[in-house]
Amino acid sequence: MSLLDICQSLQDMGPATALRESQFMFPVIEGSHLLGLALMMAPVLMFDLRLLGLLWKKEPASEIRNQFLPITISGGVLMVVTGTLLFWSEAVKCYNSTYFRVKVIMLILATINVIIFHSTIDRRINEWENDWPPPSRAKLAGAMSILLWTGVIFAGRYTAYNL
Amino acid sequence: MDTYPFFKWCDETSLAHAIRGNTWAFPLIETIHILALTVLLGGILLMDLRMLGIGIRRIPVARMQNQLASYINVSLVVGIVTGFLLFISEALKAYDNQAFRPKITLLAMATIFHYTAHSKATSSATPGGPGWAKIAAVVSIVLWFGVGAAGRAIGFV
Repeated sequence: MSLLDICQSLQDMGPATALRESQFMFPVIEGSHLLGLALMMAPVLMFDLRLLGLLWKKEPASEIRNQFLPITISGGVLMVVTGTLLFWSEAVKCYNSTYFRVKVIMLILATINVIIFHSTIDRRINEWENDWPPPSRAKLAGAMSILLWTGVIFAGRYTAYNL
Repeated sequence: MDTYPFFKWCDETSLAHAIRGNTWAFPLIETIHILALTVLLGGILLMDLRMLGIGIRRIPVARMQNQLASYINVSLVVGIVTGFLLFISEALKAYDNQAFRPKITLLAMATIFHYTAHSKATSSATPGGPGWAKIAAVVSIVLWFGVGAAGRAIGFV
């Protein structure tokens, strides 16, 4: 069974079809996916700017992380749930969309950047969080995060309008 | 007051023609519009969550305002400029679109509220804001998400 077959089976399922054909639910889910962007990405932007040493200069890095990133996690859950539903309802079109494939790649890269940051330099955050300027690895993590998540947003927008 | 002549005039400007005539112009302007709204909505949401005491509890409201103000101001300007470009390139469609006028009305209300009552709340010396901060936060969230929802609805109605 090919990946395309799997996508076809997924979108043929009852709930996926219902969502795809709905007047109200689809716009609500899609709208939530877009507005959830703000909830997820604003705290990330704040933390990335702190890592780059451009904002929140008086606060230790861990304080910004602890105050903002839990909000990102809630936003992330919303994005994953709504995104999965959207994919499920239109699996074949997504499969065939180059923009969507680019979005998936960017998402994977963005997630890898998150994992690398949190399992390495973040573990030692108390050692460098008051350093000025922040260490170059922190700056790199912040810059990569902004770049990759912007890429996800760009690819997402182009996917939506070319599906 | 009949606004149709204004919409028609916008639709026929050379700027409108230029945007319509270039395949890449509209998608690019729209993507920037979306990035601006993410920063704008996101920044304001963070302030409002702080005023509600959700998630952010230790950073004083005035400090948040101080750090976020430029990002909110710039993204609002970028959003309005890109929004205006999107509008003129489809002004006659916008005239007939049921979600467009509500969006502009909500945008005006949200912006005025943001720079008046909301601004008073966020410049408070009290870390959590004044007693009525929670009300201001809820009003802010409702208005701005209203703008976002109406904006998205433009594509659906």
